[in-house]
Amino acid sequence: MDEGELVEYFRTQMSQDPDVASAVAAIRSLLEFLKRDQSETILGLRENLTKAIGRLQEADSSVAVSSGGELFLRFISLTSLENPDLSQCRNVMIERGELFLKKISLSRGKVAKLCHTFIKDGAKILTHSSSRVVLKVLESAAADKKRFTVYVTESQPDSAGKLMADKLRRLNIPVTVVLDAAVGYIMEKVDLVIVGAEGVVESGGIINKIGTYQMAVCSKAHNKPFYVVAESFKFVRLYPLNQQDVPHRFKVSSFKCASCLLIPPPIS
Amino acid sequence: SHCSHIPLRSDYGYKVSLFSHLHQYSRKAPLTQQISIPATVIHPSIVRLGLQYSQGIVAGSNARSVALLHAFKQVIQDYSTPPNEELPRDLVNKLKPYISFLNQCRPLSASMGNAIKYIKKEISNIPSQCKEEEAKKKLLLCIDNYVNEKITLAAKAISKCAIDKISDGDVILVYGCSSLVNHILCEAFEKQRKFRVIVVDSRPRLEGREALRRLVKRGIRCTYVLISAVSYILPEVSKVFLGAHALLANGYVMSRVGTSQIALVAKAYNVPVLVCCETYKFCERVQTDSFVSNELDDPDDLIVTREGKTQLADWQSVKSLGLLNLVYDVTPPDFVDLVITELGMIPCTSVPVVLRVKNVDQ
Repeated sequence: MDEGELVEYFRTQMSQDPDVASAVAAIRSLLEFLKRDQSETILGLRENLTKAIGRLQEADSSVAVSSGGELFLRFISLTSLENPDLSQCRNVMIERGELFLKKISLSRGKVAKLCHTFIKDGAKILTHSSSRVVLKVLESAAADKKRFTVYVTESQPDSAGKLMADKLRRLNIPVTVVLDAAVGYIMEKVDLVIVGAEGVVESGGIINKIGTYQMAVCSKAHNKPFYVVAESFKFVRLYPLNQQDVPHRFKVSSFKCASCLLIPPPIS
Repeated sequence: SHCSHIPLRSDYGYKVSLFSHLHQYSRKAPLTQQISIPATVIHPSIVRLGLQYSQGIVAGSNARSVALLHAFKQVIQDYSTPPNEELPRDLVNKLKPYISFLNQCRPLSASMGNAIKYIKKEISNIPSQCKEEEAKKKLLLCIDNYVNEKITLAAKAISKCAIDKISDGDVILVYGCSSLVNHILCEAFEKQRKFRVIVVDSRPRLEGREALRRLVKRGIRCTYVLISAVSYILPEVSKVFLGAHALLANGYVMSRVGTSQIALVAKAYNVPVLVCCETYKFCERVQTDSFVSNELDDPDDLIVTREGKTQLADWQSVKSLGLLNLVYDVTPPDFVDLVITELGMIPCTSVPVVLRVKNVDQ
């Protein structure tokens, strides 16, 4: 399977299921690549996989593809590969790859189950832009017969917040779209803030859609709890000191939207 | 026992009451004056080392640890097991008076403490049927490996990590003279990074001058200020690199006095603070203030003579006056953004995890 086919496979995965996380699609493509790989040695296999991950990162430069690819590589190699027969080793790696894929496909559901207990009856929730994990959380809270209202920022430049509002309306959740500039205004009304994350960095902070940092600083000033929901494959090996320190390729995603870094606020 | 041959060094001058539980020695009265060399049980290279410590000829925690390990190598080479004794137990007992002698010359640093623990463990682990020559060779090899892995190679690994954090156009602030930070800056300069350095210095040690000398020799653009000007210079600074004397188990950083000041002001200006420290300096002690355990240097160092006039020449006669020359202070983890170790970049609060992993390894 050459690199062009790999990217094609990845793009088909993404377009077939718009709800799938980009990391999951990337890992599915990598697993397919592994199954069709023709190399003769373990070292050659690893090299090919690393090159494949690099190629996927060029196709979709989001943080999740980068972290997902690295975690996939680490997970499948975390086993005894001492069998002299290469095809046996490859089978072991494919098995572990399938296991990894199965685990992470269930992660959104697990996150939703853990999180919806934070939403109490009558809560007013603020969220930023459109996050599928947050949508799942709110969906499971609504299914649990909880009554709550949601404020979504419209999140320019792509107005993703409006899409989120549509999806929430279809679930019969009362939702209001607010301007990005109105976060400071609305903060006193809300009870808690829930956002998703594109990546979770080593210092404990997150990388997310531009505007998240402002929301976090505002919520700290108003002493409102700020929750982040993210699957574990989004943990990336990065330790940025400030906004400038985040690699540029993570700041501009394939959807041409800027991302910002959210560092945990200093303990005051 | 052997310890009775080593006289106790007496304290000098009035001690400020908050630090009365610590020792304060005078540089003009080294311990070596009170012991007669041939009759002593102390090995001559240890005596030499003690003198170098107490006079400040060997200073800096890496330098002190390496000098200590080299002196111990000499001791092991000259050692011969007395009859009816076993090497592991006897050698450890022989080291005890040396260590208490060195402690009196200058209190042991955390890195030295860890090195000594390591050597004692290696000595006790020598199987009793091992021949003396073989055992000595093994110990010498262990010490060489320790110095190589924990100090030399660790410095290389830390430089590699740290250079990623230095970008072109950076203005880097350093304090005092840390061998590790100087190494990192020199490596970054070799790798063609464009940056300039601001060296902050403080009395009475004025160690910044040594750092300045080393950096300027390489061709790095440097500015030199005293610590009183740090809030003036900080708006220009993009990053602060600090060395550490020890990293405590609760995430506090113990370093040269003045470091916590710089970290505090840097935090106020939102400048990232990076601490560079090898893992052998991590210690299990927990401290939240600089009083409980510290080192008091010679108070006479604070006296300055200008134009032939020394104002504090007879400060001892003034009953209400005390001179305090502190050596270390502790910085809380809230002021430190990143710790660079040879294991990678970790937040300050992950120090107990590293200690736990190290203990499991051993």
